[in-house]
Amino acid sequence: MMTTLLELTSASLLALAIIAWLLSGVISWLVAASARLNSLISGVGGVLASLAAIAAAWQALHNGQVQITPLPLLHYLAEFNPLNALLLLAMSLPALFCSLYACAWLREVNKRKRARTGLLCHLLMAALTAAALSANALELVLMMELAALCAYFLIVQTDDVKSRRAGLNQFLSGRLGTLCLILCFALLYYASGSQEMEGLSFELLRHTAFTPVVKSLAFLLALTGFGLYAGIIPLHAWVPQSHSSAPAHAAALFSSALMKMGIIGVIKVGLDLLGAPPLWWGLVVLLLAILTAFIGGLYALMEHDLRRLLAYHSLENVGIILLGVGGAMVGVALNLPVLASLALLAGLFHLFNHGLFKTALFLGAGEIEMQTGIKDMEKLGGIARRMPWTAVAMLIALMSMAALPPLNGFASEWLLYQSLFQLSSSHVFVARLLGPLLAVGLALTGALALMCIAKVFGVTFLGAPRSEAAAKAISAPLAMRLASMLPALLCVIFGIASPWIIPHFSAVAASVLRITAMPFADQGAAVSGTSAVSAPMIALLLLAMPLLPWLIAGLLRGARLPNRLRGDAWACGYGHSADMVVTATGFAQPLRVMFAPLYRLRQHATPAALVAALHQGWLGAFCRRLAFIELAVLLVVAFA
Amino acid sequence: MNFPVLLNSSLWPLALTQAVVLLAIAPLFAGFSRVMRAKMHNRQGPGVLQEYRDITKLLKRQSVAPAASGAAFRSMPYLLTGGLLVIATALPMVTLTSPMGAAGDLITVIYLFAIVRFVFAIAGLDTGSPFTGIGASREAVLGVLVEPILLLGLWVAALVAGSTYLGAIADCVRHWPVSSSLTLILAGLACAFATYVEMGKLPFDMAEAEQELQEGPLTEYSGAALGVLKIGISLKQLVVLQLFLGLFFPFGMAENLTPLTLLIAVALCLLKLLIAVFLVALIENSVARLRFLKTSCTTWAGFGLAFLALVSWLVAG
Repeated sequence: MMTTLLELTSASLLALAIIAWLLSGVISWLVAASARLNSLISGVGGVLASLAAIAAAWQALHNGQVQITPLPLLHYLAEFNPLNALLLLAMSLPALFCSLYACAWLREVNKRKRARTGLLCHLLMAALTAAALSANALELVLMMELAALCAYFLIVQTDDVKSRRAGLNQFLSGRLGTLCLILCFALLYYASGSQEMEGLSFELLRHTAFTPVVKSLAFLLALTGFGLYAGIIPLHAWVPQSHSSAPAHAAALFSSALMKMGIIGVIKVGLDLLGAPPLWWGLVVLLLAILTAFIGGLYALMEHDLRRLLAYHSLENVGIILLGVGGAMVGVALNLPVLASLALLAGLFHLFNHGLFKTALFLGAGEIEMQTGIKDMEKLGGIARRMPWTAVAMLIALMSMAALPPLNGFASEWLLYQSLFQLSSSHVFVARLLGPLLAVGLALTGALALMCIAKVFGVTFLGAPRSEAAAKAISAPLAMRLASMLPALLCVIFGIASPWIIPHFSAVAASVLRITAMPFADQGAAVSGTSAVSAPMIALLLLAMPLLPWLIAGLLRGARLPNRLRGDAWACGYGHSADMVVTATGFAQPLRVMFAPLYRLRQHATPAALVAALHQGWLGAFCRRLAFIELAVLLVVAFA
Repeated sequence: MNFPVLLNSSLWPLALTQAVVLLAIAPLFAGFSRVMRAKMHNRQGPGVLQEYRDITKLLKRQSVAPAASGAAFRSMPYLLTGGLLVIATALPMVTLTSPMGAAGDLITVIYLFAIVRFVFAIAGLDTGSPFTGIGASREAVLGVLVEPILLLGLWVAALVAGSTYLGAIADCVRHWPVSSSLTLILAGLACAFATYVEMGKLPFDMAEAEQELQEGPLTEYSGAALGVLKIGISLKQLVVLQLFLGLFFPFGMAENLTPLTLLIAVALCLLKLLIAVFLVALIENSVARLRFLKTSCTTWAGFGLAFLALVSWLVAG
């Protein structure tokens, strides 16, 4: 039995990864008393597990075939197909950097926190790794439920009012989501008329014909269920504070793995399992997507807690990814293969890219928090001088998040714009109307994101420090710096090399849509059929062109003295004081005025009375016990 | 459609040349603006070449910056000018196609403008000055207000042309499709509005408001850095203007490159820019600044135009 593990097929590598996640989690929990041993086992185990999972995903992607095999040593049926493999890759790569970060972080915290966080994070990743490759609905729902419960305990670990509320929100959304999923698959199970458990396997669902009513009902249930996991607005209540309450690397995993599971679920149900979707499914997804992207971007601007802000941006990016998914569904419904494959390619590529830059951002935010003890960016400032590596990593990741060329966020958003262009130039009125409006929505979201990254980078890293702690911050340990630098580096690589990477994603999209792959790249440029962009060339130009003004300034220097830095900024003749400088709130204030009705939406949607009624002490305590019992039961079920 | 994507297209020397030429003549047009303003104010005013004299003098002077400023502040003038030069390579100026196909796509150009905006905004936050921060915030807000208009206007024009490639749009407008006249005119008006706002002239002189914010993010610049920044800001106005003129007034641009067509195209391009700068100066000097928080009420008009263009495209299809 052990030898099958070492055969290095994708099944054995996956089993190896899951076992490594579980084993290292449990062992590090047992030796939590020793900080050094605990962090070493946890970190090394995590890195090995992620590497094994990446290798498994790579093999499966390379293979490109659908393959359903039981995993060696584990009673688990895994389905290897390109989509699952891509998801596995997109969540294991961030997990690799999170393990690296955890390695340094676990040493710095108290024993209780160390023991729990190490175990829960590894359990979360094991569950998600299994969920990504699940071959039937039962496994999928079980593993997602396990992951959600681990996430719940990671959130409520910080025992303050906000975290307890976030935990309760997450618990309730998670259970509601699971309930919707169970209803969805139960419906399909009964409608298929099958008698055995086999009826729940995805392969069988694909080959069963359902009536349109059953299909649509199942789709709506699945969209709600997976939407609660993915954080589609208005189902996002759990997202913002959870990302701030959980440890930074756990937050990175929520964004880059847990929420992605929800998105892939929507793709599976909407495009894969139930056959060709009718037009209105795609339209519903598109409208929800643009709402999520826009409101996420708008609300991010009003946050000062760095990680809450990033969580709102995760919502924004979930919206952007879903725009691709919705576009693909419309493309299939209208029988436009170019639109479908371009949109799905853009969605999948952005899903992958989002994992990279969001990991760098959350880990960078975690470093700042650890070195200064501050979450509120109004109290930071001038960090770039104290922590230059973190600043560079975050700058790249932020620029990537705002889709600035030539980084990876731009590569995928450009494809998305092109798919919206295809949508606009189709022959169906509703698509022609919606395409341009969605493009405008996306541009507006992009402008909001740009303002937000200027705020984050400017207020956190630039100018003068606004507190004692920020003035005295020192660089984080090497492992942490690496953990945020490496994904940022990958952002640059995946951006500049995008013309060579896009065909691989295109192949995955084509396999989901069951059509022949179109490359969408040619001679070092991304090509959509209606336009082209060459990221390497833009990178070259952007590097070379600033030299021209620099040369001019150099040639005409005459007897110029060297630059001088001295004194305070000019304040109209008054003495300069630190509190004159614009704050994050002040920076975003014009938008608070211009979009006031949209910001008031939050108060209208969640009246204070309802929130107060929901967050009474007993319900939280009750749910905590319930969660514990459920986690124990599910663990036993999973291992049995 | 064939896209001249990489350097192997033969137009790349032209792309670099047009960027350098735009950079070289940017202060001239800024000087022309100043002459116009002086004339409209009935005063003597400086000569057309005054901007060049200012800049060469500034380049010989030492840069002094506040102690709180850092690399973002120091490098901004170069990055801003460099980013604009990249856009300048991609614009259809004398040829009906974008000479730098690698970046000659409207989405790419809009996001390249976003880079410029970003470096400008973070430099404003990197000084510890109360004025620069507000200027940075305003610059970013203007982006939020203008980008939808610009994108929708260009998008509708691109839909008429069937491609988001700048060259294709210019080509389509050049061979004016009569059935889409109204659509193109409305889209052009919307883009003209967005272009005007992007140029940062009164009444939209928000971020660098001289009297109100002491020139916003420029406040703390001095000496050589200010000199480079002055070139950059005047280059920005020309690039934005040329983007609009190249797409919506492509008349006289060369389809086949021969010395004669090229000469005519260059002369016409300069003439068009001159007329545009003249018109802009007329508007600029006859209006007062908008209240910043009320700007969004005005920009709705621009978005309305773009939306009407979309409606007319949907109907005429």
